[in-house]
Amino acid sequence: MSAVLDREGPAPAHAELALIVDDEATNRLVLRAMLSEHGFETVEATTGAEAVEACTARTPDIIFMDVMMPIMDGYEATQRIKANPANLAVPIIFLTAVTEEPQLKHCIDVGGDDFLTKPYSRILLKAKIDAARRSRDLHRTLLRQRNELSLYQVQTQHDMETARRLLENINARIHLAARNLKYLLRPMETLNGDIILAARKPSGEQCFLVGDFTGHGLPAALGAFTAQGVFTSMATKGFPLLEIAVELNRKLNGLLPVGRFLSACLIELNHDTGLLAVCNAGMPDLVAVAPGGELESTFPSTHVPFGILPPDEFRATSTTLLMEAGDRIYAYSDGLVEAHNPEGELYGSPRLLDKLTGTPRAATFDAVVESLGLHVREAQQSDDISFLEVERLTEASRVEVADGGPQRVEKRAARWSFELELDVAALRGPDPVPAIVQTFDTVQGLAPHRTPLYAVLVELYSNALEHGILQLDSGLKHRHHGFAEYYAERQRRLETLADACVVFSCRHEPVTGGGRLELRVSHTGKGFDAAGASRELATNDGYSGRGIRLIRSLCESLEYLDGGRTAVARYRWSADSVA
Amino acid sequence: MGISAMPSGDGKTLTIKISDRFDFNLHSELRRLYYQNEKRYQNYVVDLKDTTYMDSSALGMLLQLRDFAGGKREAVRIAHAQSAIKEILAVANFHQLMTVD
Repeated sequence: MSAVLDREGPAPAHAELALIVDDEATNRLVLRAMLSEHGFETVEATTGAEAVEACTARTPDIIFMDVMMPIMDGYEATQRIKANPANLAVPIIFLTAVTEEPQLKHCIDVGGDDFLTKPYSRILLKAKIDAARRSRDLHRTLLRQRNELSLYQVQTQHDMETARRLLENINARIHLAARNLKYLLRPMETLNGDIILAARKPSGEQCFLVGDFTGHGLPAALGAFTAQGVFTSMATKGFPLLEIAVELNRKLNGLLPVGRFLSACLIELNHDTGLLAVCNAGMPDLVAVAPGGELESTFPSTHVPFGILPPDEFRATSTTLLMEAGDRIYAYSDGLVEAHNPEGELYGSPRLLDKLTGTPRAATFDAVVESLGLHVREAQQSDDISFLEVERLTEASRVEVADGGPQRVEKRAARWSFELELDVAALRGPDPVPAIVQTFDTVQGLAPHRTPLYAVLVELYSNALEHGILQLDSGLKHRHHGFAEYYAERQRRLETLADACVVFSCRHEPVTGGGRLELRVSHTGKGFDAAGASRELATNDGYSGRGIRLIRSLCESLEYLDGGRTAVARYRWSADSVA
Repeated sequence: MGISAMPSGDGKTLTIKISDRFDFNLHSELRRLYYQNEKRYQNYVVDLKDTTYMDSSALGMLLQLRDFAGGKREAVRIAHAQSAIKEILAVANFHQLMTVD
């Protein structure tokens, strides 16, 4: 302890001040002489009242207090001096002629730190002074450390508060304003380890991430920023769900130390087709419920949580379901089902499932939140809780696009072109469309036109690949669960494909008031009767015809060359409006 | 209550037994058992027969043990887990990462 004091004890800027309180001049003289030998400056008081007064002028470093004095005795003076918080650390040593224990005890009871029986020796006085200095220094050190600690605490709280606001921004930017969503996020500490993210793909699908980091607090919050960055930027650029999953795992694996990970459920819902895709990595079963309350399906966890497996060992897969309008899905963290009441009983999956299926559609979400509150009552929350409801809307009542991006093209129209050729191996790889649309944005600042350009390219590409090369029958999609079959067949044919090629040729030129982008997609597969297809389109209301109609509605022109093996779409933009 | 370790007769395997609650409170104790142990074992068995509760930080600790043991699926074996504990391991698909009996 003394080592600490040597290092940290404050060095006095000037000589230490001793206050001598005694009504006898001789006593004061003797003590003054001794104290000056030890380097003290001294002030003197002849009564208790004077002593109290002296302490207000300059706080002494030590006080020697006689007991019996006129006007105010040493006991009362000591009580008054110590009543001032500024003097708490000032040692008071009683100088007393008495040796009876009750009186000596009284010296300590009123706030004295020690006593010295008269007559006293130099050696004893020195020992008492040293002891007093030590305890005073210790007191000061403690006081300073306490102040530092509370300052640190304030600073930490401030930092946590800042991080909390940043996190709230993440969770608030989730586009959860959309009217088909309801959610609950209830953190256990200042910083939430649970996250709910939402984004909209350029092609209109809603994407969600409902996640739960190991642990709570700051490390979890840092991971949340990374997850948000990957998820939002990739989803809004139109990357497929499984590529987002792979990238999320790769980023978190590189960032998080061993033992830290993100359990998360990635969800994509296409309101046009009703196709739901789920990639559940370590979250409780996602639940799908029909409008009448029937349990439709559950999606158990099929993956190791994100961030654990090295990228080359992580395989992303998804489970799909065709949702009808009014169907709802529910995703939640284990904090919901493991919420306990004061008796330690869990809220539990059976109770949750009961509420999810047993209540009218519009009231389901609130019924769960209410029953949760009734269950836990005043019990201390022991984990973060998150809970999300997503309803599939009908095509007619689709969610509004809330695009926060720029509304004008700021870059001056330029002349540029590029070509992208994909062989069989590339066709089996990731979808090239998001990267192409990203290039338009980088070169020409066409972000405001991202949604229509994305839609046009997706249609051109899927027509070339799925119909031209793979010869898939889009009639398959009409049947119930046909989507899943269609995509399984697509995958099968893609794997056995021997030789094929798709070429994107993109050419941009300035025109009055804006620019024109020519998108030419050619393939080596089977052509088709373009004129016949156009005639058919006029009456076709099915899934398959919608693509070409969509391109025509977004583009200036669409034509087929080379017996249907090349499609050329021209997209026109003007500087001050969005298509 | 708590945690104990027992080497096998051939000295190749260390069996770590965890009773009651397997959560963050056991972190330093568990780490001390394998990390500061002079001897490295080929295999580690985590016996959860008497474990009644496990949280996500326990999963994290199992991953740290797996990492320490070389990262192979065979290096760590979870034994005798009760059904509630097994469910937690199943949700996180830990059978892909270590042997779960």
